[in-house]
Formats: sequence, C-alpha cells, structure tokens
Amino acid sequence: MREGVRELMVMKPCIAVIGLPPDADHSLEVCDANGVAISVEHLSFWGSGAWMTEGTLLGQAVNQLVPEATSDWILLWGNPSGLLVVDWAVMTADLFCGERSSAGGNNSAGWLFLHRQAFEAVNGCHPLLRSPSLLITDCLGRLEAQGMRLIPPLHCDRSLHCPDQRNAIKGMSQLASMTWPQAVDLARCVADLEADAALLVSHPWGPAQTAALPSSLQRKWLRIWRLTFWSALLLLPERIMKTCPEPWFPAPHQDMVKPQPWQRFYWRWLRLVVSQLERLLLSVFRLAGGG
Amino acid sequence: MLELSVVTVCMNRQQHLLQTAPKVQAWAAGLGLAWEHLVVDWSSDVPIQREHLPPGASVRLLRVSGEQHWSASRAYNFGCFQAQGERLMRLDADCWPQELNARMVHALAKHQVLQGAVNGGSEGSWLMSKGLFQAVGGFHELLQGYGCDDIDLRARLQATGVDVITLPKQALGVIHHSSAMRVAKPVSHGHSGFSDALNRAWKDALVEANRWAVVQHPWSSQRSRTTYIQSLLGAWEANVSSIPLPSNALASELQDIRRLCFWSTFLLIPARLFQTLPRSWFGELDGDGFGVRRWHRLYWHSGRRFCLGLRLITLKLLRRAF
Repeated sequence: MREGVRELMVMKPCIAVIGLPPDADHSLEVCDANGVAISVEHLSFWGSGAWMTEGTLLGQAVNQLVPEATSDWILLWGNPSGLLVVDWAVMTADLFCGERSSAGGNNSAGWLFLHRQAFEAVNGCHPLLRSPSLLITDCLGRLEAQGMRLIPPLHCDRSLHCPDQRNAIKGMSQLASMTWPQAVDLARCVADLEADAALLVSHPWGPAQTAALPSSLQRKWLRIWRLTFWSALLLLPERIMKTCPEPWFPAPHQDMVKPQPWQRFYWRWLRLVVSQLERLLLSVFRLAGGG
Repeated sequence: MLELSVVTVCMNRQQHLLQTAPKVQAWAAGLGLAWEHLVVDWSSDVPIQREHLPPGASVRLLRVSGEQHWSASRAYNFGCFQAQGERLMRLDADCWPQELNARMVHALAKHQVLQGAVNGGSEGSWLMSKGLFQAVGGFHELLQGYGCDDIDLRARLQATGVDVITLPKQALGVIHHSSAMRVAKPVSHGHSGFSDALNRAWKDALVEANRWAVVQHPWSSQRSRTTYIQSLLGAWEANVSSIPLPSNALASELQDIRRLCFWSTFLLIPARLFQTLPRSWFGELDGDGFGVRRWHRLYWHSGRRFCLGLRLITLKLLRRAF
C-alpha cells in the first residue's frame, strides 16, 4: 500500500484543492520538503455563491467535487492564498495533515490534506453542516476516530481569518464599530456554528446515516439557531428569546432571516447603551460587594 | 454466559440506589433469564456496603476508588466492560424498570436498542447487546461530569445503522431530583431559587462543554479507554496514565466554554457581552465550583432582574412604537 502510493505520487505529483479559486491578488503554493512546487488542480464552489442559492450545503458541494478531482490527494483549503509544505515522502493513505478551526488568536477556519481513500473511508464530509470551520473539524475528528493519524505539515501559512468562531468578538470597541451587514453576518456565522455543533452530536456522519434530518432534530437545530442568532445580533440573553413570543425573534425560513425595522433600531441605538449600562452595573456591584 | 447485565453506577447517590435496587431485582428475577445487577460505586465518600443491597449472588458490587470527580462516561464504561451478560442494560441509580415486560426484552434483536423515553428523566437508560456497545467503543471518555454521554452514544449507534426504539414513558420509573445531584455537587446553599439557578447553570455548563468535546473529538472503538487495576482489597483503581485527556488546546477551549456558559446562564449576561468583560471578574471551574462571590450573589438577586426587565420593557415599547 505504502509503496503503491509513493509510486503514484512520483508519477503524478498533483493535488486537488477545494476552496476559493485563486485570483490576480492571491495564489496558493504547495511544496514538498525540498521546496519543489507540486502542481495544483483547483476545484471551487465559492465565488459565484451558487451552492448557497441552489440550496446545496458546503459539505454536499465538497462531496460532489471530490469525484471530479483527477488527483488522489485532496486539500480542503478555504483560503485563496497561502503556502503549504508537506513531506510527500512519508505521506500514505492512513496519514493526513490538517488543522482544526482555531478558537485561539488567529481564528483560522482549519484545513485538511488527505488521500482520497481516507476521505472515502469516512464517507466524506457531513452533508448537513453550514459552518465551514465545523466541516473541517468534523472530518478531521472522524479520520482520527477511524484510527488514521494526523501529522503536522512542515510549514503552513494562511492569511484569511474566519469569523466562524465562538470568540469572534474581542471587545466593546469591535462591537461598536461594526456595520449592520457585518453584525448580521457575524451573528449568522455564530448561529450556524452553535446549531451545527448540536447537529453533530445528535446526528454524526457515518456509513448508515441519513442525509435527511429527522423533524425533531430539525426543530432543535432551528431553536438553537434562533436563540444564538438573535442573542449575538442584539446582545440579548437567551432567556429574553425564551420569554418573548417566537414571532418577535423568528427562526430562519429557507435559510433567510429578515430583521424587522424595530430590531434594526434597537441594534443601532439601544443595544450598546443597554450593554454599557449592564457593564456599569456589574462594576458597581463588584465594587460594592468587595470585588 | 449470563443473558442480561443491568449496570448501575453511583457516586454519593445511595439514597436513590437503596430504593431502586430491590425493584430492579424483583423485575429481573421475573424475566426468566440468567441475569446480574452490577453496581459500580464510583468513589462515593461513604462506600456502598454490600449488605445494604438486595441479597443474592446476582447482585455484584464493584468499587472504583481514587476518583475525585463524577464521570458518568468512564464509570459506565467500566461497568459495561466488566459485565458478563450478552445484553447490557444501563439503569441510573434513580431508575427502575416499571412497565418493561419480559416480552420486550426477549424480542430485542441484535441490531436494536431500547431506550428510555425522552424528557421522562430516563432517556439515559437503554438495553442493547454487549457487541453493539463494544463496536462503537462505549461511552465517550473525554466527557466530564454530567450530560451529553447518552445523546452521543445513541447518535453513534444510529450512524452505524442501529435501530433505536424509544420506550413508552411508563416503561421505566424515575425518582425525580435536583440538578445539584445530577452534577454530583453537594447542596450547600439549601433549596432556594438561588441555589437552583446555580446548579442549573452548572449543569448547563457541563453539558455545553461535553457537547463541544464530542464535536472536536468524536469517539469510536479506535480510541483508547481507561484501564483499571484491582487492588488486593478488591477495589479497582484507574491506571492514571491511561485516562484519555483532551489536548491542551481543547482543554482550554472547554474550560472557556464552561466559564462562558455558566456565567452567562447564571447572571443572564449575553454571551457576546460576557466576552468583552474583564476575565478577573468571573471565576473558572475548579474542584469546588466557579468561585461565586458575594457580589455575584447580590447581582443575581437584583442587578440581573433589573437588566432583564429593562431589556424586556425596551423591546416591548420599541416593537409597539414601530
């Protein structure tokens, strides 16, 4: 097996990159340990946004693209640019390189480099996930759970940050400087992440798993998405959404959620005032209560 | 080989176990199967005494000593892998079979799992063949304390094509109790709104972190489980180096999640706002809890309600105005 794979790599040093397409300003370079560039075949579902409008989720798009790749080595790499150096000499089908989405300083969405056989052995990506960072995290975890081994790359350099994280907000100033579309996007990413995390626990991907979500899980997904989205957008505790009638803070319909004018007004003028007041109140209690 | 092993683990929940164990025995004896009731004492402060359990060779008591914290996953894995029956039944210390008849147990196929009713307090209980349990690697051993272990196990079984059948609510009886007992926390604040809120927030924080551990580190039969060594006195002890641990990055992420979830639930602080507050204001989970201070308690009683009311009134007025 090991020899066979090595021979293949010598004959066909090519990898398929699935992610954003390169453009004039960005390029992705993949090299071996000697710095020799490896030819790259780009397969992309981003850019046009077609996978979103047609209702195809990210994992489904990846699963559809992998069979189209001519190479046996697949790189899931969301960035349009970067540098990856891997040690081709040691790579076999039961080894893979990658990085989980990071909640640390760099907020990376994660990446994955693996053999097509390994990808097929874990039944590909989870087709129901919306969160890009969880897509990689899940795939990587299932590879490990199958007994395949994660090895570090020789070098990895990525530039694009991903807002798809729990700790995407770093401070009040960041909250204050956000525009409405940015805030909606961020809230959507956070809601996708939370709802997908719950989905992964209740509906993990596997050989006998159905790609259709049972109605009880669909309701659960929508409930978590609704609570997280509005909480993140309007800086409200989830208890508020549980107290208020559901139509005030609706769940997404066909992947769309349309905030009302009064919500936009609250976001623009009141969200930070109430939050600052709460912060002030906490400080006062802290001082009064002896710290 | 025995046909059925009922496995119950217990850490300081003797008051429940002593009520349910005789009922389990009465039920199992009427099945017409060769059975055992395996009780695992997970380092209870006061060890469970064999003479306090129903008499008879079918009841086995195993003690695991040296465990500081409750870990349902590791405790049940220990019990289930020690069990000698072809079929395993997990029954928590507060549960007993009530209207689960022998026909349902006999009719259980190899690819089927019987599971307690959801939202009935018995959803963590199940009956399945030992082979199925072993094939998915048992419970996820990175999960700490309470929560998510049953959902994770069921989901992994379903992902391999196992048919999970939910039992009617009356099939299993449950002794209802507080969140404090679920998180194996000594009730130190008496029974009040404050202590209830504290325990609920604690429980939610453990569940949330466990959910994230499942996402980041999916479990399977390929993962290595804790191994145990039996001492001369008969008690078992975990081989410390074999206990699965999360990576440093994951451990720190889980700690952050517990902290965020606990405080935002307890004091009703929006999660995004909490992330902007100074870290020193709110403690992290250690052996004794999250370090709730006097000012947190004061805020819980008044400031929290004020902020909640202010937000609600603002939203109502605003909605009406538009």
